[in-house]
Amino acid sequence: MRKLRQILGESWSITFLCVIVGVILSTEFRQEDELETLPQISELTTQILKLEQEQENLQKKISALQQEFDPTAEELATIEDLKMYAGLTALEGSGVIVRMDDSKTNSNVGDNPNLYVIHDEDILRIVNELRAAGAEAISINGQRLIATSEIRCAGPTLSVNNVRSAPPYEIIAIGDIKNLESSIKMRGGVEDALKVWGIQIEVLTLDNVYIPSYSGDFRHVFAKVAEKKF
Amino acid sequence: MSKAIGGLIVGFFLGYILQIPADEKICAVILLAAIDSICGGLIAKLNSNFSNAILIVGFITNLIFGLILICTGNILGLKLYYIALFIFGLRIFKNISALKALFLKKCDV
Repeated sequence: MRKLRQILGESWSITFLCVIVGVILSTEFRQEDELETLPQISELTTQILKLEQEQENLQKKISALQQEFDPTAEELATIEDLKMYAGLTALEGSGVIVRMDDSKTNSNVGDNPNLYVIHDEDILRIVNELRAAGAEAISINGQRLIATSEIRCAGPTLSVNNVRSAPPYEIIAIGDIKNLESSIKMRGGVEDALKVWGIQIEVLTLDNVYIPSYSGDFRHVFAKVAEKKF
Repeated sequence: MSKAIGGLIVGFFLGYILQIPADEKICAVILLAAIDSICGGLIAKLNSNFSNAILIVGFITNLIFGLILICTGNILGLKLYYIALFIFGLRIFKNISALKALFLKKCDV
């Protein structure tokens, strides 16, 4: 006992406490190491294996279904038509290009500067007019408008199909050139209304315009196919 | 000083060898209680009224109260051990500032 005391010195309690601190530090270090690495690795490996197997199964399913699928020429034609209606094919034809840009005129003092920039409503009005004039396909800055497309302000930019773009906006529509052009340019129409605020609109008529296909994915979580009721 | 560091190293290896399966709350409370007591001991040494018995008894009472807080907290589902950690932490900082003052006095700066 005395020997021990000699080794530890007169203030043995501090040494003892240091030993305790060391023990706890080392146990905590060890636990941290174990927690960080081991369970994660095993978890991830099982996950990888699971997903690989799932992928394999799905691949098999795909090839089986592809073998089963053997459409007639008529069915293929219907599929192509449906694809076109849904916006999954790129289209070309005679049409118009409407270019819009924010106002270059300085806003008057006290005026709301918001009036001088293009809003989603302005684009919506133009799209609506074009549709009313018989536009068969419309795209905004390269985004094809389909049944579920939104046209919405996203801060200072415009979001279409959840893709954002900034001015100038280029709206392309395929349809009867004369109808489309006059729908925008008619007296008291959209162009007149927007020109009051200095917003620049330019309508080009072309014999051949190109509209890209819809490149996003389709999601139907809530909608189910129902039987016809009316 | 060298003995304290030696104790730290010995404890470190001891912990690795023993591999104690410890709860993190208890670990935290013991750790802070020990550091607090060490600081208190150093102050007492500088004031030359150091006593092993007082230090150990103080450490053990602090520890017991901390453990009681953890146990009641576990039973009630409350995080009462925060109180122990908070108070220990506060005391450590207080002790450190006191240590600093004493050192400066001793060095006559």
